Amino acid sequence: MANNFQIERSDEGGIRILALDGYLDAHTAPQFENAIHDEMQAGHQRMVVDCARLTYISSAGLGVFMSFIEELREIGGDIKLAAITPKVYQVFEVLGFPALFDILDTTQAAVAKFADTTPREA
Amino acid sequence: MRTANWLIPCGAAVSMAVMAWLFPAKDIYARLFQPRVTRAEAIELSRALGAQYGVDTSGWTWAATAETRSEQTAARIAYPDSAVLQSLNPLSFRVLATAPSGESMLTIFDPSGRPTAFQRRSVNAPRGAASEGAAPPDLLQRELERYAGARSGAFELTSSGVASQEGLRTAWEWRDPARTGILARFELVTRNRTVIRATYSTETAFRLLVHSRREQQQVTGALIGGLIGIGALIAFLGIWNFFSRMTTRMDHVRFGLAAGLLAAAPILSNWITGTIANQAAFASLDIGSSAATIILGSVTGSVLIIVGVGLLLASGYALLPERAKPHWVALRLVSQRQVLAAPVGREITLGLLGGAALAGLFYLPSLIPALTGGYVQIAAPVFLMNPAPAISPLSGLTTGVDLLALFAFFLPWLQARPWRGWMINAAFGVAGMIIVTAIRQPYPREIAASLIACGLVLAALAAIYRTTGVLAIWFCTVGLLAAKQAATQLSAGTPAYSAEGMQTALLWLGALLVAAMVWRFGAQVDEHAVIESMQPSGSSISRSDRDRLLAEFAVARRAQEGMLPLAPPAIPAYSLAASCEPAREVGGDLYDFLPFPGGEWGLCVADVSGKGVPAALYMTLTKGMLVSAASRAADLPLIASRMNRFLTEAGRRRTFVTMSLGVLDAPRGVFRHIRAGHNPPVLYTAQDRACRYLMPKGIGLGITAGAAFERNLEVEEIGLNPGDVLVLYSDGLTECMDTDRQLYGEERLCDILRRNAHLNASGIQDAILTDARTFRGAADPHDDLTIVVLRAEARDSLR
Repeated sequence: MANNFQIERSDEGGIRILALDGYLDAHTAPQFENAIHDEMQAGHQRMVVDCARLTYISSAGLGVFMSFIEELREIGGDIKLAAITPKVYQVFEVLGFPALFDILDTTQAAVAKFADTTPREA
Repeated sequence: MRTANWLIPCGAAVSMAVMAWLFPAKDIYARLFQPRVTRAEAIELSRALGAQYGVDTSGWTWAATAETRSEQTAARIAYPDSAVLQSLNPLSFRVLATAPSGESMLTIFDPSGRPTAFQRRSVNAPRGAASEGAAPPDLLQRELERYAGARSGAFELTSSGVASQEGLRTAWEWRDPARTGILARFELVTRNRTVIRATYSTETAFRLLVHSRREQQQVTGALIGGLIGIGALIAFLGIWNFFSRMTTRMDHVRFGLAAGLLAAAPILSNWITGTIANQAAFASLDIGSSAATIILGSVTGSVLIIVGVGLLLASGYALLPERAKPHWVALRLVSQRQVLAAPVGREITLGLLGGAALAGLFYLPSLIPALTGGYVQIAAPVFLMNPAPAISPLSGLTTGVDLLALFAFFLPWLQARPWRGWMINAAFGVAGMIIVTAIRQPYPREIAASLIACGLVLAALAAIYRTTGVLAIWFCTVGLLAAKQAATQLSAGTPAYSAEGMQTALLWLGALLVAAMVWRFGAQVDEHAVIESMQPSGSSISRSDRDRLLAEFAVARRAQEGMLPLAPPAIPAYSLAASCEPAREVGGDLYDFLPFPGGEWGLCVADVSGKGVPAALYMTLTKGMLVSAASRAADLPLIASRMNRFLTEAGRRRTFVTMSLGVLDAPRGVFRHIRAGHNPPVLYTAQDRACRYLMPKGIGLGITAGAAFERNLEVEEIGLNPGDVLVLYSDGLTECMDTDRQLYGEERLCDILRRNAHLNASGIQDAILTDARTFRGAADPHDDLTIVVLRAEARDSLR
């Protein structure tokens, strides 16, 4: 089945990059949830979610970010968000995400941020 | 998912290589039948033979068919060294020419073009035994040589010029010197020195075939018995399932019949190319009824096939569990006549390629040394009968219905059972193997090889299904027949067959290209919208259970409605209105009005993430927490952080609640509010006729238990003057979607608010709701929709 939500995974300087593409809603949220779960199982604690091609996010999609962040931070990891389009940023902003997550303009900046900061307090 | 896009084409390429290697040695066409004459050439040979016997066939109509004689096949394989048996090929072309007067001529040729039988039928055949005009010896010798070829010297005359009803009968026999019981016979009937009938045949004594025949009958008997049983069971389940839903589920029937129309394609093409007329001519010769009766029967049969496929698809569709829906997207688009949509192109492309990939799998068991005695027979010689052989692979759309039924009906039926995954897989595997083996039976003489081949094919089909859908499975048979047919034609080695083989291959390639273009450049479709548009199955629960659940939902909905205020409070110099529409039976939205100390009123709109029953349970929890927290403190941040703490513990961060909570100090015209991750309320100010969104900082409830929540919560205070309007709403309003998945948006809300700001609160509310409903059109409401409207009225207008 073709799908209108895709996740591409890559690695940059020891940081996992998850590039989201398409609609992240109640249908596709489990896919994203599994992806993060797999990364954690594989021992990856530091991730950057690249939202450049994320066109829509619903509350179920936002729930995925929250369900892992505390656990990740407890073991010294973090999720940072990058390259969010204005439309999607507005959704994050309304919910108060900028207070909880590091949100950067580019994935490179997000990767660099890992190098010079300790995880934020949730 | 994406890997299938290149894995299936690779499989097709590998399969072609396998076929090129194994086909010449293992396939029955290359090994035993070896056709060297095409249908058109057979008709030409028949015309020439008729001319030699003085039959003028100009203006006659022609029909041709191919036939394989299974007993001769078995005999030839049992005694490969018998020259007598080798002298007659089990595959034969029958060519029938009919004059307008009703006179007819039937000729039969072996695959090399040698005549093996001739029969002439006159309308006014002379009656009575013929007694004169004995054929001269040179005519007899010439005819024996014509039919027996180089072997004519081995034949002995057994009867000569015996008078019969037909004419004067002369017969020769050639007995196998090594084995008693095997012989070839040639019979010639003449009347007035003209050939009326000639027949070349072989005979094998029953006792010589007893062993292989019994073996074959047992196998076939068991398989056919199983097939009939399973077929009847599936038909029964399908019909039962269909009729039990007929009253409420006409949409399923409509879907099935629309998608089932694909089965009309091969039937129509058979009409256009004359295959049906061709078959009717032979049927009328063999069973004696008129061609018109047979054509009528064929039309009825075609309609039944299309309706049958339609009902099959309707039944499968009715049973469809949620997880199977993605596999039906392309077929659903076909039923909506959106054949130029990219998913349709993808499934047809991968189906045609997948079918070609399956073709090679059939030959693999022949590599096992113990099974090498078998020959592979995938398909009946359909293409030899078709006046336009290149299009005959299309017949896969009707002959592949067994595979379609397996995936489009049997699989959803299994998945709708409350069974464990391995039980479903096991049941599907067993039933699939029986069906595929019984119908395909690629190794007619070796059941073990047939089972292995069909197991491989079933596994490959299941893999194709997992990455594509039922439409691709349906087109697999077309791809399979095309690959097999092109291989047969190209391996024959005659120019006419090579040309036909190229045509078949080119037509398949052309279809593949068109489908691939549709895949690449066709209309992009939102597959989620298609999946959502499919009817909820509800099939895993019985009707009585469904009725009970619906009744319980109605109770739950009333209970939820009961949690909302009966009517907004009357606040002097203000008008207030509120409404909440759940997207489903129950919802996760909430609004409330709370009395605060000092005559102030609290206004609240909250939205639980998600929808349906889980959200509804949280909604009741949130309502309780709100009332409890507000009764203990009048301080907005304190209420919010109490709720946040409760919800963080209860929700474990997977569910969160956004909330707008404000307090109206009516006499002073001041509204103090917090926004816990909720959509920003919109304020319309009458003085400048402008809208602005109020967005104090705030994180949703239940997201973080830490100090981050309190630290990021701002309280904003605004003044309300007469004519000003404040609207609190949930995202069900601004994210309301139309049929093209466009969002209603904040600008539209501002717009409608500005145009209706002169009305009172309930007038404004009606205007907004009407506008949102008009915008949504036929699209399903995908989220609960709640609004609360507060308008400051001129003091003298009330009282």
